[in-house]
Amino acid sequence: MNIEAELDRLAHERDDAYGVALAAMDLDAASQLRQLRAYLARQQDHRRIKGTMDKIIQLRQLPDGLNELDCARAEFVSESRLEFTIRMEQRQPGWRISQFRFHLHLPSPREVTMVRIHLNAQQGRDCLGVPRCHMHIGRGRKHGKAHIPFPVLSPLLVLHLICEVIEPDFGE
Amino acid sequence: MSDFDHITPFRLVRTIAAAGRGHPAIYLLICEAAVAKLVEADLRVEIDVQLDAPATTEAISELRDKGLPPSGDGSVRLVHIDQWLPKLVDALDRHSPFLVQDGSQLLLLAGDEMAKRIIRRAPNLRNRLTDVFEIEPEYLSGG
Repeated sequence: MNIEAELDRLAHERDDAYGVALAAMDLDAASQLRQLRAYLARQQDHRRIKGTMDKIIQLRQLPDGLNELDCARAEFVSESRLEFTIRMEQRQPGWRISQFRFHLHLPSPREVTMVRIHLNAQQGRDCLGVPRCHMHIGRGRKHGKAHIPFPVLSPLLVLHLICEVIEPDFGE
Repeated sequence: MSDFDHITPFRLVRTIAAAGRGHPAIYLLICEAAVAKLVEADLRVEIDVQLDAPATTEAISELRDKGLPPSGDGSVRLVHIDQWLPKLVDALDRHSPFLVQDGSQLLLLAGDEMAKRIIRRAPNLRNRLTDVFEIEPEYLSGG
């Protein structure tokens, strides 16, 4: 058996499964915005997030029929901050997530200063090195270069994971 | 337009959520007739997302003979006052202590002039209003 070829096949299989998982999620941008905003508002009620929620997520229409949800800044009481963008495209019979970026900045003196969760717009050539959906732990070339495979989840579940697991625990 | 504070459907439902679902409330919401359906739709979705509760929508022109009995099913009631019906407004005024006695929430949606007439004609209802706001849709349809 050629181990490299087998690893490559397995990585492609994993990225193909990402595509199937994305296709199974029929999520329109407006309802996603409302859900994510309501979730952040609850986090505010629990005194984990600061600020007002009304405009915290903006819905933008981009060329080529794409919709983008953009949260420029959500500030945690712990001084962590979160930014995210989610792109959605219309595919029959509904909407499909095509790309997302969640960037969590953790405050010093945490040992981990940044966590990034990305869904790339397309499956890359090097599925083994760069899974389509992945997480970076740390910032920049020195610490955050590794692309750790991450499951394709609905944005609400990613947000929940960030708010309830990653933000409170990472680097503490 | 009137001098009342502005609110969005999201913010209004958030206020209801913060007070608690068992906290009775009557809001008079002022909006332009042209966008009333959009406001209704926004409110229904926000009630679903934030309160996980059903919302019933009624037009007062359809209620003229039935009055407005308490829902009793835990739903948030949205009543669009789409027609000036003085007898029904008088009945609402008379029965205002009982409109949300089951701990429910009643959202009265009316145009600017209609809202002012209600406030003038129904002093008991006015005194029981939790608040009066101008409300606009959020235009989140994407596209």
